[in-house]
Amino acid sequence: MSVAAPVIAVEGLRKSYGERVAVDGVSFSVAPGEVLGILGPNGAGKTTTVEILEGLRTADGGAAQVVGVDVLRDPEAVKGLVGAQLQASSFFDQLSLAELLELFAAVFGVSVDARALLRRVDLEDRAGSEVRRLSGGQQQRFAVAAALVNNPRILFLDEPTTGLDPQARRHMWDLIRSFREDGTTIVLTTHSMEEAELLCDRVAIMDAGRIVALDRPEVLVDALLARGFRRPAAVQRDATLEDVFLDLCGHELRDGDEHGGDAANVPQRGRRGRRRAQ
Amino acid sequence: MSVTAPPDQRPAATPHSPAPQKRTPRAPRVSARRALLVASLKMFYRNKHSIFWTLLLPVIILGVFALLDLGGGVTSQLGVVDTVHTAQSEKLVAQLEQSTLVSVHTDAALSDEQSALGNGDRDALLVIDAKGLHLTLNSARSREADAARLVVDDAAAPRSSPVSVATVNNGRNQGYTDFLIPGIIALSVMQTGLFTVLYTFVHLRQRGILRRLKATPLRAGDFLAAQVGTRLILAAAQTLILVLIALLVFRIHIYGNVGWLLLVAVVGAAVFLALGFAISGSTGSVESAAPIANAIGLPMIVLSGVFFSRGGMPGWLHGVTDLLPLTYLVDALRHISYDGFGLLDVRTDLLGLGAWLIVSGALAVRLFRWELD
Repeated sequence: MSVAAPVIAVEGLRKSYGERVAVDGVSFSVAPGEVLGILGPNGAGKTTTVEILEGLRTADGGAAQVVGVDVLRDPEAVKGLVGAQLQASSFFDQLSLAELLELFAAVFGVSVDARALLRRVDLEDRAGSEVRRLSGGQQQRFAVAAALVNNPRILFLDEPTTGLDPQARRHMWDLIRSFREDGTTIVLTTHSMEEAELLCDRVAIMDAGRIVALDRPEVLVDALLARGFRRPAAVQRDATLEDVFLDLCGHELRDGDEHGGDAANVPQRGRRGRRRAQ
Repeated sequence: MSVTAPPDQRPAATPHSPAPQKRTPRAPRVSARRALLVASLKMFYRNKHSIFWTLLLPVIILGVFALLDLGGGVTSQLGVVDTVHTAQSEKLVAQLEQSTLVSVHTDAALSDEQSALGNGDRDALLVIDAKGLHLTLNSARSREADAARLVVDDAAAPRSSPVSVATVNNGRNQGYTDFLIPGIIALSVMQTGLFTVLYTFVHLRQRGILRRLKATPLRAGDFLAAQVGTRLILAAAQTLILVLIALLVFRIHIYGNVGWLLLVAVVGAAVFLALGFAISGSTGSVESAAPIANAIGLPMIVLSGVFFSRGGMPGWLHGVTDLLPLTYLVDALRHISYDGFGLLDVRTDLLGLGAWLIVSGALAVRLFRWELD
């Protein structure tokens, strides 16, 4: 594979909130079509890093280029070029999924075939629903669809599978793989090591605002083994509890089971279902 | 640093369709504003709560106050001009002043009292001269005038002073409802601007809906413009509905131009919208929005003469409350509707509203936050 010019180039990025240093001199680059995973415990600075690159937050220092835009100098310009699925965000009530996508398209100054985009994330049958009527997995898929309205070259996914059940998580993984096959560059933050291993070309492990390791997952594993690491024997098995769970419950999506999402599957819940807590 | 990915590491692909979007050459900012305006109106229409609070509640308040008729009926306004000042006449006036049915005004000159009777500020005028007692009744307000006549007859009877009675009709039959309607319009305009903006906007921010919009090229100014546009349309609709109900159901008389009434209501709505956005800029949660809105709104409702005239206020309080935005709005609307004033006659109130609009509009833009850090 040729070494193409990076679509994201970050050098010495810094950001503090008052006394607390959230991002402390982070440097990395992302090649076109690459999937970069950013791993790390809560508070490691993953979301802050990603949100600076999305133009959502200002940085205190360093340099960052995203598709040729100097993000520190012109954070507004990058917003139209990238797609962002955010943590802790939501969408208007009282608008259907299709209407929301059309609204977002208008905001980006583009037109969109809302149904085709919803089909892309397996939500075409919910085109007339409100976001709050969707299950957790459906809401995350819709957030991804909204990030795609401007047909971005770079997609930022901030913990897209956190809080999802194993079936919905696997469905999201399939979706992310399909974007990868489209040639979309993806920056993905996650707490799931399995997700990082399965989806990411390279992973950056962050801790306390710094990148402590950055390489292909298997290289990082080999390096650890080379340092003499051995797993405790008790967990060295060919299957995990999640494999047991999926073997018993099946791989198929359970979108309709929770939150009264799909009336056809659970008629006893009634049409409107329960309002989600969040 | 490695920037390449070996292709053999990639998991199996899933089938997918090509990206279904295409770029269009429309002016993005205009289309964004229009799309947001249409979407907000749709959301308003679909939200039954907002329809209730914005459109039905003012009508209900109006109905309750009109049914109670809190302001009218109890006392009638009697002007008394004593030209003789005898012991007998002064005793009579003192006796009239004892009555709870009439409110007696004795300080003005005859010509002033006559014009007061003419413009509806008095329901009856009693003139005492050498020939006796002359009572003139305002037949347009027959209930109040009859009360005054009863009181005067009662006071005059023991002295066997003849009372000559005449009637005038000033052409106006304005009761409390006529006085109340402009107040209710002002109240609902403030409600739409201050309360619903504050509540809705803080709610949108608390749930991260604004945060998601922040990640798009949408400019804060365009977002605010669409929000303001939506709510000005709602305020105009709300005012129109109240005016129609007032005319058709409560049969009030609007003496000024209904178009001016609408225009002033929309200007007032802009003031309270700007105030609402300015306050919501720094308000973190829906829970803190309600007390803040009440702390600002309730004193104004009480002090701006929405339901009752501010005439009874002590001078200093009158001076202070003169400057409240709701006072300017109530006064302008009432002058147009109740007194038949034109737009030029209420220019002081409009200037007051304009000053509030500039200050709170600047604050709204300055304090705007998509999210609180």
